[in-house]
Amino acid sequence: MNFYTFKWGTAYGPEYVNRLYGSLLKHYDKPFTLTCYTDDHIGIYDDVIIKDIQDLRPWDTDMVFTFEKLILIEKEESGIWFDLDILIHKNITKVIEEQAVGDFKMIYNHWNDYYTKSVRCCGKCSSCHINSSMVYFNNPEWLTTFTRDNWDKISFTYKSLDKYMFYQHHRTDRLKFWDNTVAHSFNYGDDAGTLSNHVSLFNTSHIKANKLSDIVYELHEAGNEVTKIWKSYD
Amino acid sequence: MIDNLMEYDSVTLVACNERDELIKVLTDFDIKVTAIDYDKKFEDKYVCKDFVFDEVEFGECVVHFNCEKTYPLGKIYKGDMVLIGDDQGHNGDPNPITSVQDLIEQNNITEVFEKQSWHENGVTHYLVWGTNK
Repeated sequence: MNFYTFKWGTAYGPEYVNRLYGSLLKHYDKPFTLTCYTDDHIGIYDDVIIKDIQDLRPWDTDMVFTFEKLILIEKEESGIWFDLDILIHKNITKVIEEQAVGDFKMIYNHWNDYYTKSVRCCGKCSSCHINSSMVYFNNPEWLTTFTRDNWDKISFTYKSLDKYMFYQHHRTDRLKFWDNTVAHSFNYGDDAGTLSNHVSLFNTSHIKANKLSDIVYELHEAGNEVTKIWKSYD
Repeated sequence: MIDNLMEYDSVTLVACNERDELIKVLTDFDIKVTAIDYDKKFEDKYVCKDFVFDEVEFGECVVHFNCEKTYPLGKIYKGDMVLIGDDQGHNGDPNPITSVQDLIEQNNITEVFEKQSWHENGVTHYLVWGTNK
């Protein structure tokens, strides 16, 4: 399996990449590669394949939208990408064997409550119930074609990849999801603050982007058990 | 706005939320009204589509009630339109409207029939009725 991740700017250091690699060594039992698209490879293990993040940037823009992921699926055709702010803490071999099928699979935010998922007006374009922290892709032509054909509208309308995917592709039932036992949010839901399922997500970028006041934790500040496991992947 | 719409045989309302009263008034005057909103809560009474990304049919005049929330109508439609937007800057808004000029320029309006702005609860709303034909 080919795994991918992305690191640019200064929010995350090389230890995030190295520990992701370490977690795959521990929790994925089959041959794999990890490729990191980055603007700074210093400090990243030699076993991680390094590629230039600029290869995923055909447009000169500083927008928040992580369109690099969409270019990745055109460039690499098949694999799984992980965001850096996740913690794999349980074996994922079987999960991937059984569920990495079809052409595109994302995480459904099953931890969001009924009100935000079902009642709140979706027309405000502020809800988002899917997550792209762990995505399987296998040449999803429908997605690359739609994105290319509508890029002007997409880049104008959405400030994140997840919102684009939710409002355009979940709305039209094009998306498939990992089942709810694969990933969970460390910051939201009934099992917040624990390490359940196989992969814990620590996404906090939406807090700043949406000026929210939720108390959430990044991976490096989550505390004892998390820190211990995370550092054990060095 | 109702007076403005009386001169059309068909009117399309987009991003319109609840507009039962307006729809009733226009329909009572034999104007064909189509409302389009992608929010599934309207699927029983509206065309449940995203007018920016999906294929939709527009009437003689299109009324856009929330220009701050979408790609400009005038870039995908040619004809008469009533454009309404505000400067609230809600976190889901990609396109806060800060003047009638914003609406005119974004939608390539070539002739303005009417324009106005008003202040309500700390938010300024802008309206332009015009055409980009």
